[in-house]
Amino acid sequence: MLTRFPTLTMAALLLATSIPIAAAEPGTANKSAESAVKEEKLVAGFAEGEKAWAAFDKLIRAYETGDVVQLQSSLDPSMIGYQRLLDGARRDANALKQLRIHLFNSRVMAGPDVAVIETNWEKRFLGVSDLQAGKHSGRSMVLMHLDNNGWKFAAISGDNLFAGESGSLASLSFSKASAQISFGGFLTATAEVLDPDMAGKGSIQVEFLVANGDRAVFIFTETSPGKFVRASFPAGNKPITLNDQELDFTGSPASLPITLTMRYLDQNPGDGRPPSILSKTIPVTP
Amino acid sequence: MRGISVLARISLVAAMGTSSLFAYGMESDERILVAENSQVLSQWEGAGGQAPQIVPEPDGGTRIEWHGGIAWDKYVNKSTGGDTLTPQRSGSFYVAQVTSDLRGTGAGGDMSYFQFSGTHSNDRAVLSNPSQVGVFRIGRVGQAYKFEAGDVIANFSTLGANTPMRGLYGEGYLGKVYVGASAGVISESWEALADTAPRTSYLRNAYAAKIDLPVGETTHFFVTNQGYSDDASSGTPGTVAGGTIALADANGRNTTLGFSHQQGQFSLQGEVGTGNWQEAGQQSYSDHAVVLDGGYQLSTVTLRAGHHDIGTYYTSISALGGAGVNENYVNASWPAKSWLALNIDLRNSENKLAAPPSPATTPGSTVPPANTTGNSSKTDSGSLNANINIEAVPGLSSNLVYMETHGENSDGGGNSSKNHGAGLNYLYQSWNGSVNFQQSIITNTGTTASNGTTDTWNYLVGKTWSDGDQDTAPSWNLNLNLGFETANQALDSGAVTKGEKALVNLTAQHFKWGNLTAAYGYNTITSPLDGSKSRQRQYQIETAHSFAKQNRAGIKFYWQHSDSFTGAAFGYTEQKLGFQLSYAL
Repeated sequence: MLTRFPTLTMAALLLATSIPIAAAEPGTANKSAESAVKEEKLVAGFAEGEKAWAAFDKLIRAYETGDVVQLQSSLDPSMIGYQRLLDGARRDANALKQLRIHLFNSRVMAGPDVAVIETNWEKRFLGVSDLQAGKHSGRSMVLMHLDNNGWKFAAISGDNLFAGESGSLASLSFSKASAQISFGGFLTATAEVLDPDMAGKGSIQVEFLVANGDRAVFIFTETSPGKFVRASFPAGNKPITLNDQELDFTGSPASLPITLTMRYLDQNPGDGRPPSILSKTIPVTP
Repeated sequence: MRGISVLARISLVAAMGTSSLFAYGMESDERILVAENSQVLSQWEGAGGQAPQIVPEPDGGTRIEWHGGIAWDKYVNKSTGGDTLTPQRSGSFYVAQVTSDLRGTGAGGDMSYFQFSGTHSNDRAVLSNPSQVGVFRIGRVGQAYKFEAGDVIANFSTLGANTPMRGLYGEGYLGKVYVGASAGVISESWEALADTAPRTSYLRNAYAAKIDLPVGETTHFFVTNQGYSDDASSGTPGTVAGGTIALADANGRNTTLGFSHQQGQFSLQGEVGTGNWQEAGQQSYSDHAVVLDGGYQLSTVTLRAGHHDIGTYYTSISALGGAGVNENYVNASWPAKSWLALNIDLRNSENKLAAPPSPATTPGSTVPPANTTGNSSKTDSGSLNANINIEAVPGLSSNLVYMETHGENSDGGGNSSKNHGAGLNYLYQSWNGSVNFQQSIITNTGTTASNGTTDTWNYLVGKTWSDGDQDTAPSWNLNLNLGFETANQALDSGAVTKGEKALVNLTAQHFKWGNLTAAYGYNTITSPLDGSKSRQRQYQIETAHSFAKQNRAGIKFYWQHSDSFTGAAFGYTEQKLGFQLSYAL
């Protein structure tokens, strides 16, 4: 029920003017000055939350339609990370087509002059270079600010819905709860890193740690924007050699099962968080 | 004698985060059936945002207000395509929503309040769990104090605290000195806090406090202190979260000093902060942040400028703060003539998070390799917007925009973008129309596959019919809009992606009968590899009717269809048929 219907995207595209015209109206500045005088609000009602939500939805429409100009017009010049957000939105608009944003688990809480929107989101798209379908997901907290002209976008934390490179926490996954190994050959388990920050890079490096102390780095290949996958890993029953691009299981198979940890450094995890290490561990069986 | 006034409204979904009315294609201002309930909504707005100004009953009694309502949706979905292409699942679903806002204003003007909203649904595309509390908040507010419990917002400063919490909040004045404090848990939801829903982040125990001292009539100085600590047990296997949190738990704290000054046409705000952040098992980092923003009204020109420097490892509980940013900007807005308005923005920005972080960790620990990104590390940018009223033709205006950026990537590469566009817009009497053109040129050595030039043309024409005139409000109106857009993206690789979009949108309103919305959209994109097309279509029909008695009850029917019908790779179908019943209590 509480979903956004794609038609809205179309409507936004065609019914909204791409370039804002409000400033062209004579006397706009005076009107703003006059409206600066208003009564103090101490407790906001649900109606204020609804207005904040409407302003937020306009931003989403602009992003879905790739209208960076419209998006920029809704930002306050003093917003921290202004250019980073626009750079990311511009890159997304260029690389992701037929964007559709789905919001769920959404809620709005309005204060006297700030409103907080918390929502999970899913972003479905086609990559421009090969029209491969892709999906990013995350959870954002959007801060809206009430000024003389209504509710305005102030900041976004958590995973950045509007621009992957502005900060979005990566996710790691294995295709199975455990991996199987055949010595002299490969460890079979499809590992995946989904990091919108890295969309368009083509490949990334991911570190693997074996519980016996071995460490190896593997190249993951990008299969759709921001999605990096590797399906097999060279593995052998030989003494540990660090960083040799092969998983060494000393004394195996006697030492199995053993745990294998995938580690990835997300240098822009969002949520105001510094570069952080993500890890995922699974057991390896013969 | 006790005075009681109950104001009602028919919109029941304000705080649910998303709105069913909204979801079905009506413009934002229409989703709460404003046309049928304008009087009710007017009352609601007047009371909803300004409750403390409500005049107590003459005999000194308490005035009680209650806004609230319920809504119930029942619908059937039919969906194909899988999770990558569509969030919907086939089946029969319902969504029940309730809101309640109870306020009591005493003789002295102090007000107590209790707000609640909740949603229950069996549709996992709406709620991941069956039930969700939207807002749960109880409090009391007077002219010089405020206390809240439940969902609170700690809104103290840019570099300190600007976050919702589930906990306690209090503020008040000791003479002229403002004191505010908040403590609680930062969690995704009440359900995550109660361990009845999966978590994607740790429960974060947090506090924040602020003291603000006015100096003279124009200046304030303030100090804030805040800290947080992730509850490590909330993300470990065995809890509902079940080990889904790949990050290590962390803790942090910071202190900030700031000021604000406003005198005549000049204003200046600044804040400095220092903080400490540590992930479990890793070393501790200290970092700092500075923000300074000023404004000056020079005749008709509004000038703004600022400097922000937020360290990579600076931490706070402020959504405004961010991390790893260094930027300087100058912005000017100038309504040069009655027919011309200009806006200029120049800025230099450094994205510290685009560069690989320093691999400093505790001895013996390892750090995975740092991948360079295609994100801009340093950017110089400028934009110019001009809005022109063509006075010779009533209703006609023009818009010009130019934006340009030049950046360096952290790996030594570069990036640049240019956006320029022009448009004509017409809005006069019952007609509206526009023609817009935009060209976007993007190059980035880090993401070469999408480098290229995109030309976009956008056309719109619309007309409104009604029985109203300058002296009489209309009892009905009908609006029809037709739109078309083409986008041609020529990639530097030589491949070309072409997109076309079209829309027909019809809305009708009658003061007795209700609303009708019908829309059709068409969207195609051509593959740069083989010329094949991905086609999307959307249909939508929605009709809503409000019943007589003060428009408290409403019913709505809707049908939506969306699909992509080219090839298995892109093919999906979404259909929804349902109705909604609503009632304002």
